[in-house]
Amino acid sequence: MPNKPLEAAVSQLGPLEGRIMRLVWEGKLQQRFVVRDMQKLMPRLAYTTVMTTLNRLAEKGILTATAVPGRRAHQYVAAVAPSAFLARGSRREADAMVRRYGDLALVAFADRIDRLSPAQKERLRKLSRP
Amino acid sequence: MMLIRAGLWGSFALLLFSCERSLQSCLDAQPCLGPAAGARDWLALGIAAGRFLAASVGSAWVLRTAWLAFRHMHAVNRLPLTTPPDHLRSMAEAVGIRRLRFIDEDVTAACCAGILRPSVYISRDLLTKLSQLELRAVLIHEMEHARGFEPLRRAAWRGAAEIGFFVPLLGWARVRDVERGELRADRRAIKAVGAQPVASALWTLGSELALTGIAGFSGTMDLRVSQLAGDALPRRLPQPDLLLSSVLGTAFALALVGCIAEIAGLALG
Repeated sequence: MPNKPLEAAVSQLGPLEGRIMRLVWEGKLQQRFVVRDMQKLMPRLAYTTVMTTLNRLAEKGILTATAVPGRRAHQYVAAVAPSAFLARGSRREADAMVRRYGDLALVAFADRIDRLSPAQKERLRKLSRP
Repeated sequence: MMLIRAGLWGSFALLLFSCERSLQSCLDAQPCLGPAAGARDWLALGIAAGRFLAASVGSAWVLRTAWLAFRHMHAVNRLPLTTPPDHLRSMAEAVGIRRLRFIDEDVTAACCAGILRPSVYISRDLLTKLSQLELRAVLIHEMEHARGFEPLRRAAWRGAAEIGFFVPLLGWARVRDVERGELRADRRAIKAVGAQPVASALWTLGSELALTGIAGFSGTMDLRVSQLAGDALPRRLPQPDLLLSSVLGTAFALALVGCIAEIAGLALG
């Protein structure tokens, strides 16, 4: 059965970034890995290509890179799960929408329910049931 | 915002302080009004200062509102619009909406926009998230905003609160106007479709906004939920400190304008 969040998250990345993150999110590597570990799974790709892509993913905040003590290499670990990555993506889209359309949100129908007190939130939840 | 407000008040106080200091140096000269000046002179100066303050604040308010309206229209004109689906158009016509716009983008948006010809805007995404009855509730709610020319009203209130920053009562009145508008629109929707679809649409779209982190402008959810539940809504009156600060702010502004008028009078001889 396909993992929907994973497939959706991979589809939002570039081709090589998507392939790499699929391997990471599917647990094909140890939780912490180095460039060489990834390259073993993608032997057709040059070491530098894999390293550049991993660094780009780290810059985007999808991976976290930490220096290995005493070595020049970096260890990588997934910074977000596919669902969190998707949520962040949609948040970015929404922010972009607000930036683009600015004051259009002036007379919008809805307001955030997370601003409600727990008691009011519960009342609204009950009222919304048919 | 707090920083801007503090900066404005600081500049205001500095200006008044500088003006009063300059005035001290001319108290012996005429036409500066010193302690010996009669009540009639002070009254005349007060009226002139009040007129000048009203005229300058009024002009600034009109200009600020026009700028806000222009920005609003600029944003509206950039929306990617397309022809609404037939069933949505029929539903909008049935509830009495004359101007419906359909946003061709996968974002959750239901709003009323437009300054002189307010229209109801619905996004494609909304059609998949709401039931027919919930959608009808949203349409009626937004139609009520359009009927009341609320985008224009809100721009005008915002302009007034910003330009008249020295009268905090204006900021309070602006928030109350938003609240009244939202509650009125909800009442209209509740009357047409019942409370449940309105609550359900609020729940669905409000959850979506919480997830995406969009900050709603109004912050009236608490009152809206109370109204949906049939509670008696609290009567909102300005607090005494708000009234006092507004009176003091107006006096402060009049003192500044009066001081400037006095110096200008001296300079002009």
